[in-house]
Amino acid sequence: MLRFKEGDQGAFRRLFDRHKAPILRYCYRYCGHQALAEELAQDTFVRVYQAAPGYLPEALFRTWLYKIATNVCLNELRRPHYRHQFESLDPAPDSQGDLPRREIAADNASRPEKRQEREEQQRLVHGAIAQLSGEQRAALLLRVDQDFSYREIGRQLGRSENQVKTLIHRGRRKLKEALSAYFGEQT
Amino acid sequence: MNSHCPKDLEISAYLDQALPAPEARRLRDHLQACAACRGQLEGLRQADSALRDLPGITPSPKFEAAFWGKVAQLPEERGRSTWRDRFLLGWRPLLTVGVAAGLVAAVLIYQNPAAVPTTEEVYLAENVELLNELELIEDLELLENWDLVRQPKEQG
Repeated sequence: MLRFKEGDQGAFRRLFDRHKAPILRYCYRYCGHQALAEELAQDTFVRVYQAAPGYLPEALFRTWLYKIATNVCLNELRRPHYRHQFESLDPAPDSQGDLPRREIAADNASRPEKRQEREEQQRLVHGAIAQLSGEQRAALLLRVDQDFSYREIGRQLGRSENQVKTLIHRGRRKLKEALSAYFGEQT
Repeated sequence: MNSHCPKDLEISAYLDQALPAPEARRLRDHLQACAACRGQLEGLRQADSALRDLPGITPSPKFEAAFWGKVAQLPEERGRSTWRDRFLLGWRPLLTVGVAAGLVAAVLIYQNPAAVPTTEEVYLAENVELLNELELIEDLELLENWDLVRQPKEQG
C-alpha cells in the first residue's frame, strides 16, 4: 500500500488480486446477493484506491481493508431500499463455488439428498444472518469467517472489546436458534 | 443448566479463546462436569461451522472491468491530492521552524539589550549613503568640534 501511495500502480494491482476473492466472499456472506456483493466489493476497493494519498500504516493493512469493507456494507444496510433487495435473496449461481466442477457433478449425481440438505442449511444460515443487525452481522463474520481478534474487530467497528463480545454472542445465539431445528435437540 | 453454570456470553467468549486464563480454566473444568453446558458449546460450534461452510462465489466476468471502470471515472484527485498534501504538509514544519526561530531571537534580544541598535546607530545606518555623499562621516569629528576649530581663526 505504501508503494502504491508513492505511485507504483502495479502495487495496487497486486493488492487487488490478492484480496478481491476474500473481500467478495465477505460481502456476499454479509448481504447474501451476488450482484450486490460485487458492487460492495468494488466500492471497497475504490475507497482503498482513493485513500492511498493519506494512508498511514497505523494497523495491519488487512484490518484496515476489512474496516473499509464493513463500513461499505453497513452503509448499504442503512439505505432504504436495502431490505427489499435482501428479501429477494437469490441462491448463488455457483452455490458449490469452491469445489472443482467434476466433483460437483459427481456429488450431485450420487447424493442429491445431500445436496438438498446442504442447500437447505445454506438458506437457513443466510436467513439467520438477515435477522442480525448490521453490527452483529459484521462482528460475527469478522470473527468466525475472517478470524480477527476482538480487539481488531473493535477497531473496525469503533467498539470496545466487551461490546464486540456481546455483538458476537448475540449473533451466534440467533444463528444457533435458526439452525436448532436442522441440527436437532443438541442445540 | 443451573445457577453454577456460566453465562452463554462466557461460553461464546471461551469458544473464541477470549476469556482471561483463570476464567477459561474454570469454565473448562465446569464443562467436564456439565453436559448442558457442553451442549451449549457444541451448538455454538455448529453454528460457526455452518457459517464457515457457506460457499464462496465466483466473480462474474465483468467484475474486474466494472471495478476499473469506476476507478477510471474518479476525478484526477490523486495527482492534485499528492501536490496539495505536500503543500499542506510542507507549510507546517516551515511555520514551526519560523515560530521557533522567532522565539529564540526574542529570548536572545531580551537577554542582550546591547544587541538592540541605538537611535543614533539606526539613524546612521538609515542614512549612510546620504552621509557618504556629503563626506560628513569623515568630518564628523570636525563638525562636532567646529566651535573649537573656528575660535582660534577668529581670534587670529
